[in-house]
Amino acid sequence: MQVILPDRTVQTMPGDPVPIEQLLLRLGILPTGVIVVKNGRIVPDDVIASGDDVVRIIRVAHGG
Amino acid sequence: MAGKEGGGRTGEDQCAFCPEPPVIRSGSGERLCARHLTADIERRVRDNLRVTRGIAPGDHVAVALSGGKDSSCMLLILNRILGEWADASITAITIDEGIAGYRDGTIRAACSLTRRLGVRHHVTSFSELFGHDLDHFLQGREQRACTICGVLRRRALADAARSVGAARIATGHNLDDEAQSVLMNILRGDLARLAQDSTTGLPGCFLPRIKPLSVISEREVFTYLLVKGCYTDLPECPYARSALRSEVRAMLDELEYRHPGTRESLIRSRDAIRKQVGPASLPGDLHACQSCGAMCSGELCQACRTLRSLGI
Repeated sequence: MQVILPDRTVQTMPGDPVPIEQLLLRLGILPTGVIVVKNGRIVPDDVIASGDDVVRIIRVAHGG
Repeated sequence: MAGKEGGGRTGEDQCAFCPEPPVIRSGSGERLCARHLTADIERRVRDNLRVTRGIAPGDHVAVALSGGKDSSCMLLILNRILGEWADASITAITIDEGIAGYRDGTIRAACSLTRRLGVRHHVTSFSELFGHDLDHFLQGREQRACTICGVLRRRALADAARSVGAARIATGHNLDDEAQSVLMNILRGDLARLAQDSTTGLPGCFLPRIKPLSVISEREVFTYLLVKGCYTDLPECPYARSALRSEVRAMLDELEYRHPGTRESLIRSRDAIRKQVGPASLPGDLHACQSCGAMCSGELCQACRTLRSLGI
């Protein structure tokens, strides 16, 4: 599984199924502060990521 | 809703209201697709404006448009729902504080959006109004950046809104912003600011402000723009890093994750305090600023005091 972090660096992680929320917490990221895109599609954080999924984490921009 | 229509998608992979894939979980835990998310947000904004009587028929509303995500989202939604109030109209107002490497990009985004929506757009600047830009004012005063900018921007916005004949000013403060402000005012011991309700307006003193997005979380705002294809990636204000708000935001994000509903609780507390402590019962007499007429507790209001301290 490839995980693209908010700073655009890429981490390769095991493909074991994991809820995205848990994946974020493992990376030290609060789920409420980010949007997650799995394989090109925005997904809620209770969706499972696994296998060859490409998960991109986008930090919610601040400032209105 | 599941089954063939969902293209084989299971209940876990679909919106609570249709077979489409979900993009977010709502506050109540429901999964929502892009269509139902945008409908939900627009409904909540509409309800918020109705409950707070934020817009009245015939109102001309000045929409504070920085070009950032919140004000852009607000303009998109207001432009869509404005027909609910007969003869109501909007003019977008953008204030160029003059922050190098930041403001030009957001103003371009603001102009692009208003052109696309066909919304009237009024742009003014600190240089025009106060003689210098914010970068100039903040030399040697960077620690006070947000305070000085906020005070002057509010003055600029009010002046611009009056110049276009607006009856109200709409700002893009979201649920997170509102909760952060409550916590900041408590941390500073600023009861006056906590109790002040800018939505009411005071006769002849300042224009009422409405906050259509105050019931929408920052994350929802962001998602709304993404699914609408209207998000522009812009840098964060360079002065924001030194602000207390950044620390409060981080604290509140953590609290909200571990104790969902914290933001709403803070706002309910604020509203309860406001009911108990009206402006007339605050320490010190309130009267009109000698310079601009705004309600204040001294001879000059905060904006005028700030301008005097900056040598204007």
